[in-house]
Amino acid sequence: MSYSSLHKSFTVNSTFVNGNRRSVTGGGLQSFAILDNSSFIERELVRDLLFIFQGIDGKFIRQKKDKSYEILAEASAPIRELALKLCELGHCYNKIKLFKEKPSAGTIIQSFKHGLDLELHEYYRILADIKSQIQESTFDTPLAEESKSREDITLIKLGICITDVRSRLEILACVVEACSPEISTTPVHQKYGGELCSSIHLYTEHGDPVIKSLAVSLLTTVTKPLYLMLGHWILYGELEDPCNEFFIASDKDCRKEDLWHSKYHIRGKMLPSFISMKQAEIILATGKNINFLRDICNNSTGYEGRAEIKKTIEETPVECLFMENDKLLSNAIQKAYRTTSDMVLKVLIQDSRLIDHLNALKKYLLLGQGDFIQYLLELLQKELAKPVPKLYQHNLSAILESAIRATNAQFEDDDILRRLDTRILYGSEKETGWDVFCLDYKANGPIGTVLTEDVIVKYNQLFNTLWRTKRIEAILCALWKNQTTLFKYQRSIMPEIGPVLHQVQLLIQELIHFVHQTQYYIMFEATECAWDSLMVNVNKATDLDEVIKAHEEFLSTIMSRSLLDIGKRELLNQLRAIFGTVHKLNDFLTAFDERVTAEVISRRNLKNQINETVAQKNFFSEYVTQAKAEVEQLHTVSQDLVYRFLIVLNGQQDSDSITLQCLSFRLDFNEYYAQRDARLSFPLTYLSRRLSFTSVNSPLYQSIHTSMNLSHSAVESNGLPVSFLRQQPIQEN
Amino acid sequence: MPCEIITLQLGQCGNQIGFEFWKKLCLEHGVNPEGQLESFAKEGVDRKDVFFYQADDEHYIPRAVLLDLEPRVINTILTSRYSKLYNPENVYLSQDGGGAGNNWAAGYGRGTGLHEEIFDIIDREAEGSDSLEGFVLCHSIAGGTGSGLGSYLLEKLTDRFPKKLIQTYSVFPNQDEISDVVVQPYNSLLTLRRLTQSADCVVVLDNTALNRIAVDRLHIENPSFAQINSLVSTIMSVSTATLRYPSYMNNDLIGLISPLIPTPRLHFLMTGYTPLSSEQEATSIRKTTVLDVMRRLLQPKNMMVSTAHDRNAQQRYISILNIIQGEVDPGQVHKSLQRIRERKLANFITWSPASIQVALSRKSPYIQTPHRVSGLMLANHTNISSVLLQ
Repeated sequence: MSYSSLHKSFTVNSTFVNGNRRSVTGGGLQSFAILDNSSFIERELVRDLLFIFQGIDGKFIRQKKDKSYEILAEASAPIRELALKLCELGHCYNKIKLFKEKPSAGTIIQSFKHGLDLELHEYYRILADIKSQIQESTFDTPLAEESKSREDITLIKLGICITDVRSRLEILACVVEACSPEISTTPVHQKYGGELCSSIHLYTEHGDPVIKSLAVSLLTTVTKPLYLMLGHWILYGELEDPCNEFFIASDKDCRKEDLWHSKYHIRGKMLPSFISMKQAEIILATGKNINFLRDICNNSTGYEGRAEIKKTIEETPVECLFMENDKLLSNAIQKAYRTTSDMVLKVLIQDSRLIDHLNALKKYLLLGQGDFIQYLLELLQKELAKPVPKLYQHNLSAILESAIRATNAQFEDDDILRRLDTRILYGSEKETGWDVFCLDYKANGPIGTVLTEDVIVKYNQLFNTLWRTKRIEAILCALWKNQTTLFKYQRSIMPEIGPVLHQVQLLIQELIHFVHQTQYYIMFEATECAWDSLMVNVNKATDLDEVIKAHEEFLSTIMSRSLLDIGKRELLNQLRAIFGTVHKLNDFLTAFDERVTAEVISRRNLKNQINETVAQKNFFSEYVTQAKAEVEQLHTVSQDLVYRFLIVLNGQQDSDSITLQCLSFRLDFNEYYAQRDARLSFPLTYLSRRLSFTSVNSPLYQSIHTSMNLSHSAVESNGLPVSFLRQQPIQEN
Repeated sequence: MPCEIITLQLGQCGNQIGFEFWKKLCLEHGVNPEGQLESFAKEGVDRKDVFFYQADDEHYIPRAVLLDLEPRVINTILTSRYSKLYNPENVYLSQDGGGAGNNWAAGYGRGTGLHEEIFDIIDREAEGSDSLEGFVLCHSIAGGTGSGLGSYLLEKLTDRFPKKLIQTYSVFPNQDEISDVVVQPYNSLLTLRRLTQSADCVVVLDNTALNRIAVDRLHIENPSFAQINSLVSTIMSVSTATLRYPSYMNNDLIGLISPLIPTPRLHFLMTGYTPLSSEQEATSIRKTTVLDVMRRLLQPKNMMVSTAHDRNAQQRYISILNIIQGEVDPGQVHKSLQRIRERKLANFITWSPASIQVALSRKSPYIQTPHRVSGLMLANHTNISSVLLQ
């Protein structure tokens, strides 16, 4: 764009205006003198203005402390007005200059300043042009009076000369003002980096094509360093950003294991407005992929097609960054992202066999490998009965080793077995090994990115819960076996313990049913279903983040379905209470067995002494009656606990309530409990949902509430009366 | 290695079904008739040690004891391709070879005389295993050796190994045919008493039902013993599948049967298997899904026990365990359970909580089957009493 040509065309115009004015004002001498005087002042003002335009005070025009301008010469109001208006340009220039002179760090700011410089060069050129015209008109007086009056530069003419440059400078001043707190009238903080790009980018969508082109050219200059950083990041995964201007930041203190999760993140503030968040994430992921490959997988060969992408990036003009019409750059980024993501996934899934490791976790930490778990349970029984301070890691590890050797786990890959270890969770001194023992899996190397420490801790928790359940199952199985053998025994020798055994068998059966169904539920609805969707998601995943997300989902599903959520504390406690009855039953039966065995021996010894045997028999039958009452009490307590568990289960109201209902459905498949307890015969979930809409104080709700309380108190009070009632008729006999 | 199981094959019938069972196991585990592991079967997802042990030269040898009072069946086994599979010391043949003559008393009586020799073998086997879980006894309750010697063994085993489980696969006689053995009912009755008292779990294989299934479902006009025995071996192998392919649950015999048997006396189990197909009609038009399999398992016609078909008779299930093999979508299991409950396809007892348990098991990778899903049902049903009454 040529300003001089513009200027010339205006010159012609202004001559015409001047001529006109003269014909209007040409009359008296006085008026001519005034005109002469005013034209003199005007000339002076024009000259002064040229200084003002460069930030220097003139003879008549001066900048006051409050940054407003004053005109010292006497001039007519319109002229003053006009001159002051033109002073604005000086104000803009001052702002820009102030910003330029202020020391600041950052490549993007430097390039911004460079862009301003380029603009100012143009500005200086125009000023010089105007100045030379003025000089021509003042010093060439002897040549021709005519030409002097014709070529005279008035304020209006000056104004016209600078309109164009003024609007440009105004925009620049605005941008500068928006970026810098010292200059701005409104409070802003010092902008730099990507933020600066954003505020310039705002002007590229300006309706005025002049401003638009100005903003584009300025942005082109400004984004050059950004573009270089971006290229470097995408090609080599390196951040060349000493002044924190790039929209991706890295945490230098980050540990190697956390590289993927927390080393790199997007600086939202630095994200230029022309790069969308989604795009930024892709860019971030690309670089992360490269870093992951290099640092964790020790693969620094670079990715396929990098040279090609490099070429594309070098050849593409910088404008591609913010001009939407060109897809060249975004395609190149996309390609880099795809290639590197595929590489990472290949490393993880094929080279590090992530799926195998997940499978191993499922097999060992989620008890999928039944024979191994069972044997381990058997071997550890003694060790885990000890209190926490007496547990030693090396003992446990040795046992684990022997369990692996003896079961099918021995066919497992060595790499997986090496990672498997025992772990003692933190526990108080009162707790036993059962509460704190869990298996551990050392996930180092590339898979550690998916299986972070937090994830493994979750697995540990799951293991502990499942392990307890398994233990209960083992206890019950042992009890069942004992009962079966004792039954064979009893029939021939001691018929009177029959009723007790029958009661015990029923109770054991109920508990076995409960525990087995719980385990089936955990296996199908929790583990297997979640595992299926995990496999689908992992196979579908296009980058590491998706794999991580899929796995997190998998874990949280299992956690919530295995009642390990915070919201399901109550359920878990109920479950523990039910397990508690199993322990009680176990204790009781151990004592009972001992007693019976002792009785058998003493009967054998005392076979001949009839009198004593009778007394003994009486004493023993009393014991048997007592035992029967005790079993009955246990039975009631456990049944009540199961009822309450089911009621709470039905009352669950979160997203997983459907799957939780699967559990209650399994537990009460033949409606045994529902028939005995009216509260269970209709699904409580709907009821309580309806209630929550109406009012909590409705009578129905209260009745449920009180009945629940009643059942609660029944547990404590039930024991005595029942045993008491049962005892009496037998004693009469 | 925990949970070993020793198989005892008694009498003509017991040895025949036992033979079929071992054939099937060998196929499933990729063990060839000489006891050597096939080259394709070295991955180790299965537990061979439950039923086999390894000799010094890596041969897999079945933990099986073959007993008979007459040499015919055992000789067929010993002359077959599988002759080298068995440990010859574990084969016991009565010296005089007379057999028990279909007489329970003869079998039982001979037992006392052979006590030492038989228990020598059993003791040796038991000591050879790290933690013996129990015994599996294959026999028929109608013959002489199977019922008589079987009863004797049952009693003695209980005395000798009081803490070990005894599971039997007992073949019940065919009631549709008039047997040529007059004493068959007596034999059965006497054996049943021992089964009730001494065994921990009896899987009832009813010849009547097996015949019916062979005729109706497999469309074989005159089912041969071999065909029926292959049915039996299928049941036996699938019902032990969870023991041999370890998974989340039911990894040992006790874990398998304890939820099925509420009180020790109620230990007669019936079985059902689907889809049934003989080798002739390998191409099947059936679509097998979990629901399909589970529903079909509940139909009486797939039951391997012929019970009186009286729907009014208030017969109920005490417990059910379905072992489903094949490619199963775990989400389907719950849906199927729900469907069954909605339609009340299974009647359960009311005096205790009960439900259908479903165990998923892996299929042997070495055998190709035309069906995607197959299932076995082990059920404890009150209706079994009708069989016992007959």
